[in-house]
Amino acid sequence: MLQSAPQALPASVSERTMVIALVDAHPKSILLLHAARKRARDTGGSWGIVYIDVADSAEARDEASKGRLLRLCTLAEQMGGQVTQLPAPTMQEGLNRLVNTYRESAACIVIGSHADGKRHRRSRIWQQAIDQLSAFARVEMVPLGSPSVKITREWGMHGAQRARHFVYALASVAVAMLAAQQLEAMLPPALFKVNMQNVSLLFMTACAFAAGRYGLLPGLLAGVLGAGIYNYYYVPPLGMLRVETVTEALNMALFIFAAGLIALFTGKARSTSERSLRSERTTQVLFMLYRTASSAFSRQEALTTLQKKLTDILDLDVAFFLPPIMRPNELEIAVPEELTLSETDEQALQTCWQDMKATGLGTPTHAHAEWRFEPMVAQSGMIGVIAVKPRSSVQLEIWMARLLAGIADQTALIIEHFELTRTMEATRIREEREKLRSMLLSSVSHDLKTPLAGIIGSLSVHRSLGAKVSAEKREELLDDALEEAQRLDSFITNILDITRLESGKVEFRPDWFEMHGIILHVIKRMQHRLKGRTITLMPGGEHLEVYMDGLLGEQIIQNLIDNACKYTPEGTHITINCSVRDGKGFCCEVRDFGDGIPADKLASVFDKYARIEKEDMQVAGTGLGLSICKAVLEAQGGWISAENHPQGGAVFTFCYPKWRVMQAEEVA
Amino acid sequence: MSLKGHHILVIDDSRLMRRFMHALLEGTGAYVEVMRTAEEGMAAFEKQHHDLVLLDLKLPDNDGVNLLPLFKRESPEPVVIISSVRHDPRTIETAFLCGADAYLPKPFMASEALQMLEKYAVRH
Repeated sequence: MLQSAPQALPASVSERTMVIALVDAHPKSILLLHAARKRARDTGGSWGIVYIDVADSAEARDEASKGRLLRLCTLAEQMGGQVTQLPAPTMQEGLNRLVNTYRESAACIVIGSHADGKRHRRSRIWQQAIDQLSAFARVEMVPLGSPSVKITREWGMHGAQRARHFVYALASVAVAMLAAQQLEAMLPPALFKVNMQNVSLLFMTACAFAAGRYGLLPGLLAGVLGAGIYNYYYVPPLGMLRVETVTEALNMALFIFAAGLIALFTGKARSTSERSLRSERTTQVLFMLYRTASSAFSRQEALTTLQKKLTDILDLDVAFFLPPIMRPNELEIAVPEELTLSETDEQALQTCWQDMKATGLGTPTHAHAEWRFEPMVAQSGMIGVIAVKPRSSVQLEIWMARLLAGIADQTALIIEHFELTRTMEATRIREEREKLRSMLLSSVSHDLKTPLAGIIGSLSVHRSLGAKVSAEKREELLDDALEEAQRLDSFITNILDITRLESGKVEFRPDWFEMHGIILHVIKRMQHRLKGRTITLMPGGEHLEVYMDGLLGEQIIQNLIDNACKYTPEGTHITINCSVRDGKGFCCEVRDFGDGIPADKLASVFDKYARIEKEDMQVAGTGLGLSICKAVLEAQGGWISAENHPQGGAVFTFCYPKWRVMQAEEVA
Repeated sequence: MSLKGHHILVIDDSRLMRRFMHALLEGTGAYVEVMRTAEEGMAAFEKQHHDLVLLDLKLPDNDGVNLLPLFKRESPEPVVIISSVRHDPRTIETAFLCGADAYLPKPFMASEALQMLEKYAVRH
């Protein structure tokens, strides 16, 4: 896959148009690739990535680095870039080879650098190489963050969060104690003594609550503490942790046993319920990720779906941050459209992006942030950042943090997939367009040269044969040349017209016109072209006016009549039937009585340069007349269609949306 | 060398081209046949011996290049001259590879066409 560096560049490369990204196994080297591709697209040049392969370097030994580099090279190739490997014994030698290899061809060289804008290897050899490269090409530094940084993830709850659970367990015991005191204050001492067992139940409740809400250990803590307090304050001798009678000892033992059991079972039930909830949510998330990856049509759609579904399933606020193409090392919000972050969150986001590690809520880095940020890393490098914020009732626990890291990686793969698909599609479209352009050029060139060949041939034969041929034959040659010259003129006019229409340079001057009058005017003008063909015109009502550009309207009718003449024998009939149609406006149907349009050509009859092969090139069209009709009509809100009449012949129907009955004074 | 008495077949889909070539060659005393399509051209070629064939490339039913091997297989003797508005190096090279004897790029003057046809009539 990797190709060796060209030994010498071809002499014909005189213009420097190539954009080169110098990559290494840095997880964010993918940014350099995108930057190079973007620059090349802006300048219309080619692009590629170069990797200096220093034998025995740390990168060459590290499997993860090798894998990342391989993926980066594959990605560059799939995106239409050239991949070059420069093997060298040392980095210095490699840089020298880089300078020599691209001295003649590179217009721009993209190099990764520290966030502070300096090349990440600040040694003399790098500075020297950058100076040498700057002498013939523009050197662009893209900040990448520290190269030594490794992608790290923080699993699970922060210690403080765990400690909080124990504090809550203690608090629940404190509440039970307050309740017991309240009970003691409210009831007479004798009655309170009778209800002593209920006091123990209060502490038991605190234990059950702590176990159910915060898990086994906080539950056990609440149980032990509750037993202690109960013994100290409510079991004689009061104010001491001691029991004097067997009954009390038995009561205490039963209390501790019951509290332990409650904590154990409640904690276990909680854990089972949580596990099944996690399992269900994880399955839902994985299924949703899979579905999004396979059903979304665009990156934006995929991210929007992911955000919505993740919010629903996990009860979290979710946001995605991606680098903009123009500034590949910065981040901007991709989904939702807008999001306001606090200063701490902003710092946590930047740290996550720069250092490629999870930051914010539930991590040691910027732990006070409201959001948690996870780097999204695909095989080819870091793609962006996913941010989540638990809603009030939800805690970010270990399993969820792990799931988030998994979501981040899967999302990165989905984004990478869309990037790749989009790039490949763009390349394919560009190639198709180029092929079409080349075909059109070849077709136009053929259509321009064929009549010229006829004209030059006829006239030169006319001159060279002189009196050797009959006057009648000479007259024929001149007529032929003249007719072909007119055809050439019409072809060139049509090319110019369609070019002007397509480039939007035609200024439409619409006004109210009587279609009937315009059609009659065109028929009169085309008498010579009709060659014995007759036209029947049905005006479709009296005193009707159509809002259109008059001159271009004439051209539409002329092109359609001309088209009918091309494909029907002399002496046949053409009908033009005008009418007002509900919801469509003022419509005209031009029907001929020829062979009609072949079924397989009906769909492309308005395409540029589409032509139906006729018996002789002499009468075949330029393939532009109908395209012009369509462009003119559509630009004025109208439309045109083609079909075959059931009784034979082609029917072209065009409509203008705005019409009216002529004003009374105008009729008069 | 005059073209008088030579049998010449012109295969071209342009009516104008067929008309002026007919007029031009008839004036030299040659026997001229003009055909519009590849099928008509092939039929005429099989039916009658021709000394020279002037063949267009873009025909309504086939490309002239595809006719060349058929002509050569049928009878290798006639000189086949390709005449087309396409004269990029690749097209010309393909035509020669397929058996064309000469290439007359369009547009051409009557004198150029005569000169080339006479040259190959001599060789023939």
